[in-house]
Amino acid sequence: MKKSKGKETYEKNWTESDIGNFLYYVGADFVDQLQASFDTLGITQRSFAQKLNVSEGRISQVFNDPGNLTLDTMIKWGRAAGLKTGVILYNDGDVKNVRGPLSGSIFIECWKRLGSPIEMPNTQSNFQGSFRSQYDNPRQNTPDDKAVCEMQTALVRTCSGGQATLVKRFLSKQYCNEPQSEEFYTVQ
Amino acid sequence: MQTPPTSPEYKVSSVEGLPFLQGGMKAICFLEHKENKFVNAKTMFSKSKDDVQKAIRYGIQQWLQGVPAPKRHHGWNQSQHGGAYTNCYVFKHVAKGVRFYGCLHHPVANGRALICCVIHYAIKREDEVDTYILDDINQFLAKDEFKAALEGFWNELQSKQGDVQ
Repeated sequence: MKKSKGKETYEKNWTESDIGNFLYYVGADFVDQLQASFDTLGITQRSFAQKLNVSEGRISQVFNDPGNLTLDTMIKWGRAAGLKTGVILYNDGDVKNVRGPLSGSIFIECWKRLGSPIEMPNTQSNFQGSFRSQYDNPRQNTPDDKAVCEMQTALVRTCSGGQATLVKRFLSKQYCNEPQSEEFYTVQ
Repeated sequence: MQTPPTSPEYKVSSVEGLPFLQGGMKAICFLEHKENKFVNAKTMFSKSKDDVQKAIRYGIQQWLQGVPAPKRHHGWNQSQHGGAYTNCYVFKHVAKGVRFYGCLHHPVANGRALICCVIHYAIKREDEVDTYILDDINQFLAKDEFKAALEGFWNELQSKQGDVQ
């Protein structure tokens, strides 16, 4: 799994050398989340199979070898467990994929810690709901607003493509009282 | 007259496809030893079928990222077996009964960092813990040469980590 790039030689993560391995990782990550929800929601493999109108053996087969899961199946199985399936693109700064993909559990944990928002977190509702009782005018550029602004700017820098555009739009229209140049928001 | 074993006895190598530190704090490796048959993890891992290798690599990566997945990897805490196996660890493919046992070590240079050294492969069908395996795993951590090999591995990784970032 060694790869040469000019003078540089580095070893690749197992998910980088073969797209099948990456698919396995994504599938295994999905079934792990699904099985964790079974434990939480009290769903049995049998009742899950009945709900999907497939055999228990089929469920076991996929759980044991999740590398061939399709997005279609993921959505159906997620729904059967009362969950929604999502796909995200992210840039963790690991352009060579040395560390491999991040587990979906990390994103879910971050989402939960933000209070499980159902819209883009912002200073007016999600992040700073508690500030409204502390400040007469939450629109003012308080130190806390500024911190959130900086945090979201950092988020822009770690996002890419459509995500960055979306966050930029929120930043420019609503949150940052101090206007920034376009270069400032450019994804590095 | 029999030739004494060559020194160093213990060789530690990275797991193919998972060669670097995770966030600078966690690393995984295989132990190799020419004469000790108990040290079979690396050999058996390379002989394992593709689906087993993928499942174990996935489990290791979950461990590296700190994601709890007890069906894929776990250790033993103070309340289990009188706390005798808190330095032991296992990566599993439950459906195939495959287990890769290892031990945990905090490098001297960074006490908060953690190396998991995978040592022994076994097939397990029963639910009960194979404590005799864990007893054998524990013995490695009492050996200075073994710990020295882990420290060497850690230092090498630190320099590689610098190269890739």
